[in-house]
Amino acid sequence: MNEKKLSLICLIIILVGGALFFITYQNDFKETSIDTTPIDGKGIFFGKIEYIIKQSPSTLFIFNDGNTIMAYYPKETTLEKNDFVTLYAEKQIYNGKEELYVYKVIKE
Amino acid sequence: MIIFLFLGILTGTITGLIPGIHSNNVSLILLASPLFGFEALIFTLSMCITQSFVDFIPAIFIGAPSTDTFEGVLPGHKLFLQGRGFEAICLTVFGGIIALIFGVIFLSPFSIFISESWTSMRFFIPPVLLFILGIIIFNEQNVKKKIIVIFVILASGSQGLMFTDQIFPLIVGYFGLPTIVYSLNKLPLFKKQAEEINIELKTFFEGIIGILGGIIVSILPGIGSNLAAGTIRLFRDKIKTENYLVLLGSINTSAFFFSFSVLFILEKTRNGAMVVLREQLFFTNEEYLLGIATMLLAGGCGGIITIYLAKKATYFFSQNRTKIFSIISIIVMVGSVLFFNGVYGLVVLFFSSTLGFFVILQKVNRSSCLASLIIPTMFFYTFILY
Repeated sequence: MNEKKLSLICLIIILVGGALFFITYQNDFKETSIDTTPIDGKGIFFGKIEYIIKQSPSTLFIFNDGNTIMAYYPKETTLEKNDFVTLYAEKQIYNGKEELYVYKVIKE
Repeated sequence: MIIFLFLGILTGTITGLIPGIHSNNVSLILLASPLFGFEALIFTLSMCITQSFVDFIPAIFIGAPSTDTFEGVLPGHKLFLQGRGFEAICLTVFGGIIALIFGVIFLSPFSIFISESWTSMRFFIPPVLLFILGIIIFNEQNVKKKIIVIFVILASGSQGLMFTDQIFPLIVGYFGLPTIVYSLNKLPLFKKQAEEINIELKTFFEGIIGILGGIIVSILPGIGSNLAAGTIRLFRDKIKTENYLVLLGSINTSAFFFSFSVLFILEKTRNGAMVVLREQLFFTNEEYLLGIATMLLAGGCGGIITIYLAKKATYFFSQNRTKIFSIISIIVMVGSVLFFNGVYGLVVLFFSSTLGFFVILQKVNRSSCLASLIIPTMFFYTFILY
């Protein structure tokens, strides 16, 4: 086998992998807001921290993007009150109340 | 999303071409970046898989081994000296391609096996690692060398226990820096490199065996692709240089392929890139399938890029250029250690390089230095499990 045939095999793998890539790919997070996100919906939220409780190893905070909601982040953070943040989160019901389960938080 | 794929392939190509820079280090930067979820997944996997192919270009043409390919230096250089450097690279690409194709086929039985048997299997990790150390010792030709290897195992094991979280300078010191510095004044005479290659299809079998090596690397902590290749070589009678390069290429690629599955099934990590991914993923089926697709796509691209760059390299490299690139490699390695591990890393690099030089001068199996990873892992599993 020469390098041309080897390249051809690589090309076939690219085509198969590419097809699989486009079939399996779907947007996981899109920019959204608290009021437009349904329960169990994921999204990227931008807003401000109104109040924060640090309970090691997790963090609880009130998040405001025009509407307010309780947010739960299962890790320790250095976040403070009035910080502007971007959240990758899922809206869910906890103890009968709407809450954001935060996967990642980025301080702006 | 495609942009992250291209970025990953580009970064993997760069990290593969520059000895001393590893995709694991670049992945760590991801932790501080806003990349997350699918973006992080596509970028990291495409970078790692591409690097697993491109890695062999500096290992064979510049003579600067990376942490994954140092076992490939000798067989690769053998062909390079015969003017078959391009063929040596293509053989590793062939191995990587076999790993991708058959890796997908073996993925399902592997997933079932690992999820069913991990609980009992982990009890065998310390004895298996001890067995591998035993193989390294008993494989030496005479008593003097056996004693030297035992000393190296104890010394590198002690360094591994002392310098925790300093894996990068340890590996660069054992396998990277001493090799290049040692070879600076012993560079081979340049021989005109052949542009035509002929890969025998029967080397295909070595690629399949390499997948087994990749599985071993993805499961057993402390075992790198190089050591897996060395261990497989011990169980097979005379293995041809060409076959060994296919084996190594296959192990290098399948190790990442199966490490990703181990991450999803067991949430266990075997390298820096997977540690980063564990923090950035949600472990959904969609992510798993997208990860496999990304690795196939990037692997195919990595293969073509490697063939193209290797062809260019055959024109480009002459003795003088090899020397310049060796010096650049040394600067990059030391700079990377300083950047990622600070001054303390340089201190660790000094000690590990000293041992690395000793091993080269004594002409004993350099895999013995991997005791710096194996012994701490044995200790960890022994104290946790027993």
